[in-house]
Amino acid sequence: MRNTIDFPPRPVPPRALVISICALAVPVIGTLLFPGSLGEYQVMLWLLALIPAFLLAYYRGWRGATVALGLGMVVLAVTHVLGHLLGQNVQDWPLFVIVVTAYVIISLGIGWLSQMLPDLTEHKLAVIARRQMRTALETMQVGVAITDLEGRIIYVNPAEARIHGFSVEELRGEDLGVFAPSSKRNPINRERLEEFSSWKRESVNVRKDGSTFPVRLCSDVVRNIDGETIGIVTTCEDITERKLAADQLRQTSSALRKSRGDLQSTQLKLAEVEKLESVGRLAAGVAHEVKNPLMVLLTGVKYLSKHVTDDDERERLLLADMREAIDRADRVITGLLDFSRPHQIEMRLVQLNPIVERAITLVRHDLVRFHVVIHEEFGDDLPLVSLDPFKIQQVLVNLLTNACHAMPDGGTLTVRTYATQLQDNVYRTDSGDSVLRRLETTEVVLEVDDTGTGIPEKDLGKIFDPFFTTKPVGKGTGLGMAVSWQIIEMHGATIELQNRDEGGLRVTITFTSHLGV
Amino acid sequence: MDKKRILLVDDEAVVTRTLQLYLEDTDKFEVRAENEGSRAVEAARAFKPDLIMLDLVMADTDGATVAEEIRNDPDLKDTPIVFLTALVSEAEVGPGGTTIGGNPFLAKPVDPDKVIECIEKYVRP
Repeated sequence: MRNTIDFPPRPVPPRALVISICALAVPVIGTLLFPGSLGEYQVMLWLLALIPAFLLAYYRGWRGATVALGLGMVVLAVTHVLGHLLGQNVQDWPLFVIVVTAYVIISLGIGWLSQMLPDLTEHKLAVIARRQMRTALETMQVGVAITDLEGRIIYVNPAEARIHGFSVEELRGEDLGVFAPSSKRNPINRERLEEFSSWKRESVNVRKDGSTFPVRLCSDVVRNIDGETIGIVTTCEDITERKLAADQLRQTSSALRKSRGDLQSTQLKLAEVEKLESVGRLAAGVAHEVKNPLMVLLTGVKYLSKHVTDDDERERLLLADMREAIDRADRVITGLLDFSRPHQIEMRLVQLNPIVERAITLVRHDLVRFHVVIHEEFGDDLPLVSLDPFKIQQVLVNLLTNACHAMPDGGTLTVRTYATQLQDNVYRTDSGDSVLRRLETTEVVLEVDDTGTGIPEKDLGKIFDPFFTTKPVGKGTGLGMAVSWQIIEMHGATIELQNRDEGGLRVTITFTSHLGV
Repeated sequence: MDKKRILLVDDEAVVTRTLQLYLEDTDKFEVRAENEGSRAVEAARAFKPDLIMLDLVMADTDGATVAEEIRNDPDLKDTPIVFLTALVSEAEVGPGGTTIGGNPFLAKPVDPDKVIECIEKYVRP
């Protein structure tokens, strides 16, 4: 079927208009200026008067030719009549009519032909436009593919081929499904096509080598002059980098959120620590005032205990309870005092093992009382660690006592020390010069394993909170681990609690020793 | 057997009174209490104790100053001093045997039987 194309009338260029006006003006002016000469030049004048008719016929078709001829004939008639009136020698009327008739036929012929023949200028413009479009398509970085209704590729631009690892020639005539993962290869639904205007989506395409990548696709139907769908055009954009950037942004944003959370929790912790420090300072003042009355009570209870007879069972029980109450009050006050004054530490370079041994000696009584067997697995030749021996001993006594309390029916306590080389061959440039120094970081680790009940996972995070205790009311002050944590922090060391798979708890204290070599 | 003479110096009278009661109840000690730190040396010169039990923090003076004065007194310089204090805990100073200014100390509240043990340890026979 041939498409009828409705071309608009060609614009008449200004030059053609000027020529036409001059041609029409010349006979009139010549008749007026040169009386008596019309007869000799009349045929030439007729020819001149036809120039605008031919031009308009060419540019505006047969309608244009009719107008021009009308005008031309008016001009000729005017000059002819004018020639008679001026007494000039004019051509005969019959010749005039014959010439005019011939000219009318020729003009109309030109007009008709100019309408039927393809316009060369139009054709040139179309070629240029098509070249421009092709260059644009071949230059752009977005892939473009045009398929017929069977899905066969009619056209791909170089970007489309490059994105998918093919050459343009390889793709011509291929099925567009070659770009889709096998799970997504659907035949084109022609009925649905009619409903589409354009549709955008993100998908995953496959390269020639089988690798996949994310794409953004935008399709539209291609229609002919009668509006019938004859194909589909699809643009394809590789959005791998955009996706990566989006992922990175998401990660950064999530990291930022986490940092903000950490910051908030640190702020809360700091506020908590400050609060507790002020509580501690207050407690230190109170402790002194409370310890004297406790001393009085203790002495009084001991005195009365000595004077109660064996028959006074109730009094004896009462005094024992009072004694217990005094001890409990003292433990709380002592704990608060320790908590408020952990800052006074004296660091010394010492061996860890003797400190551990001394701590074990100090809890020997509890070990026997709770039927706890102790295993000592001390590493040999541990490097010296910078610490405050008394403070660390205090921490160890606390840990070992807790471990004993966690095993009321007996158990095994394993105390282990060892050293690990954390990082070797780390080179650091001393500021100010180019000397490279090897930095050896050694960790000295102390582990205390018990075979007790462990700590519920939900409570693990609270163990170092002041006044948190898993012991029965009155048995623990809830300050031991808080004080221990403070002491460990001040040493720049770390303390970790972990329920062991075999049951029981493992406490790990890690001291770091940096010794430049 | 002669009773050992013990001077208790503490600005809290209730502390010295109960401890004095407890110590004298054992019939092993003759106890004198002094509740003003600044008069402790004077009281010691008069009483000539076998051991002085000295509070570390008192309202008018501190135990360390009193101890120094006692060490500088020719008649008292060899008298054993045991500090009795509410300010330090054993955990802080280090368990057992650690001293304050070379003198042993007991942390309040202390079992009075431990006070007796301590006195018997440091008093010269």
